Amino acid sequence: MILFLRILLFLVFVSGCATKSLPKSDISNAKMAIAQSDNKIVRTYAKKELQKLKQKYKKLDTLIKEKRYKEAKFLAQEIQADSMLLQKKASVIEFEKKVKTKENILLDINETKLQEEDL
Amino acid sequence: MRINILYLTLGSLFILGCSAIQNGVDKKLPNSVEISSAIKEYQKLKRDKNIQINAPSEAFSAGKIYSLLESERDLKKANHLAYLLKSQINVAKLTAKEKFLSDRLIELEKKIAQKKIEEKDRELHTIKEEQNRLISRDKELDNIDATMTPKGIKFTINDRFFEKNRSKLLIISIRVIDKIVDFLKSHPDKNVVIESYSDDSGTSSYNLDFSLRRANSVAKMLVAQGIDKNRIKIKAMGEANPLFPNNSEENRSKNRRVEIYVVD
Repeated sequence: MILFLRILLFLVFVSGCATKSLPKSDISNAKMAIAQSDNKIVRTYAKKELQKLKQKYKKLDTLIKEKRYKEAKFLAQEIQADSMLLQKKASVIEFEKKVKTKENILLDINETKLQEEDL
Repeated sequence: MRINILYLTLGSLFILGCSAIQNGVDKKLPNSVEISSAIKEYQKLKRDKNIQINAPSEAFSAGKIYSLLESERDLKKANHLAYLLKSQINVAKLTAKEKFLSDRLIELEKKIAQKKIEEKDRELHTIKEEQNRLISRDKELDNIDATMTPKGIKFTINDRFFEKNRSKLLIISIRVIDKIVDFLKSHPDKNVVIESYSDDSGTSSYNLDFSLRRANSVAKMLVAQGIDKNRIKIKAMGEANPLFPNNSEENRSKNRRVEIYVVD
């Protein structure tokens, strides 16, 4: 009877608290976020960060296999946040380069004009 | 009775066990470096007008995460939310920067387009000026007349019919040459004396050589048009007989000339 009671307690505790089920939507969002990040701009301007993000995704796979769903849920959410940040960073770098290029073009035009005026 | 006690015990254990794990026992907001720095950054973000204006939806999302963090009592979850909050704050900052850069890019593109239009206008103006210059030169050419001098009938090829500081004749000089050739062909008994002059800017020997090269250039053109070379005599005069004092570029240009005399 005591043995039965102990087993029952253990089962109740495990089934009640071991969080809980596979966080499907977080995982699929993370997967989508990785796919969105893996684009030309990010590969050009934030290659290393993209690699890190992919490493996180591998870790997520491991957590799922080990049924550590609570940690998996957190990690999946982190991946989504990291992915959004990564895309923004790459986009800003690209904009900075474009702005720099245009500033140089404008500078060249102005210098040419000044030289022509000097002549 | 025993079964009831058993259920009651099980229920209590379940509630205690799970609430201890999921909600935390402490009712205050948990504290960690991560959490406090995320909160500080969020406070800054709220005061940043640039971000509020240029990244409103990102700032709003950060606010939602902040609300969750404020009500969270579990350290692990709070740390996780702090991570998400920091990330969202950075997204908001970058979005504002992206907006600024995008506006700057548009502004620069407009300026470049404007400059290009100005450049085209200047080019057009230059072309028009050149066109007008050519029209007036054409008129000048049409008015070229032979003048009678004690030496004979004189035609003049001015400096502007040559490439600058060179002896090569410009295409446009063909009209003057044609006039001389026509005259010589209709007067086969006449000969030609080509007297070429320079200004005084170089050394005497350079000026002499320069005037000789220009005279030769004219002679070659006449021969090419069918005038017998035995009818042509060349005189390189160098800086001699200036028409005007060599004290300005305009006068020097007038002195650089080739005079062609048709003689008996």
